Amino acid sequence: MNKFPFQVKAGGLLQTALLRFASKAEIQRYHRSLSPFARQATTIIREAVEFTRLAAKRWRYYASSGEAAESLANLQRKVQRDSTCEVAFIMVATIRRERHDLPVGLAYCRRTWCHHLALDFLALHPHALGQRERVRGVGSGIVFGLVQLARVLRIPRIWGEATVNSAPFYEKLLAIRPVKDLFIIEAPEMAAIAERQKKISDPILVSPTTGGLP
Amino acid sequence: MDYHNGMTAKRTKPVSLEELWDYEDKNPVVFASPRALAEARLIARLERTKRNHRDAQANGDSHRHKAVAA
Repeated sequence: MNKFPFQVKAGGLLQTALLRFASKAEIQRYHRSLSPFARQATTIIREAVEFTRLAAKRWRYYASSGEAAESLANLQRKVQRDSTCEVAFIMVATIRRERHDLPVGLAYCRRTWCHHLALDFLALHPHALGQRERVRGVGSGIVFGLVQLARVLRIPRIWGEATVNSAPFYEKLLAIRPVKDLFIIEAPEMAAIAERQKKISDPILVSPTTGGLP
Repeated sequence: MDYHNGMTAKRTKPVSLEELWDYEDKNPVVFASPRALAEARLIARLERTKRNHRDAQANGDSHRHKAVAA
């Protein structure tokens, strides 16, 4: 139950991506995979690298005081022990590529004291932003993964601060206007997000387990 | 629902996944909460300061400082 699937399109084909809890080692791996992109000229890739590095540092800081989780079971244990605890965790999205998992994005989240889920960072990996082979649908897919996680944990609300750049995305995703500096995803929005993913009619050509084309 | 009903926000016609993906293609999803970003930058600065201090100690700078003070 650590993995939450969603659909993306890579190379014109539908593919199943997986959103899962990142362990410390996975966060380090993800961090290292950014190095080739660190000096890229485009602002969006520079921001993707910077936000991810900062999210990783913030996670390490929380982890050093025992306030971070590396798995669903780990998060559930912490909540069982203290129902008002605040726990940070990073969810990493990957797709299968030539027998290995290629990171395509991440979300930095916090389970808040009142059992809500705060989304602090949502950033695509430069792999998914490439002009040559863009992976489509990673951002909205990650949010769908978080909706699945919220349902498992019976979290009634996902929320976050919206900015001038992100507000239009959340307006489209949630079919609500206007979204100002706060977005809230509750049961009706969660249902709509899940319904939209379900509507993908194309057959799934690549499964997360087999990796290649059938 | 209650929250959104209580605000001035209105529900709009839902967009399809394809439309949403088209939007994401043109407007890449790279978002950070401003407060979280500020906190993370502060943590990064703190780490840098600690590292510099550790490096300085390892290089024997602290001994030199003591010698100067004496």
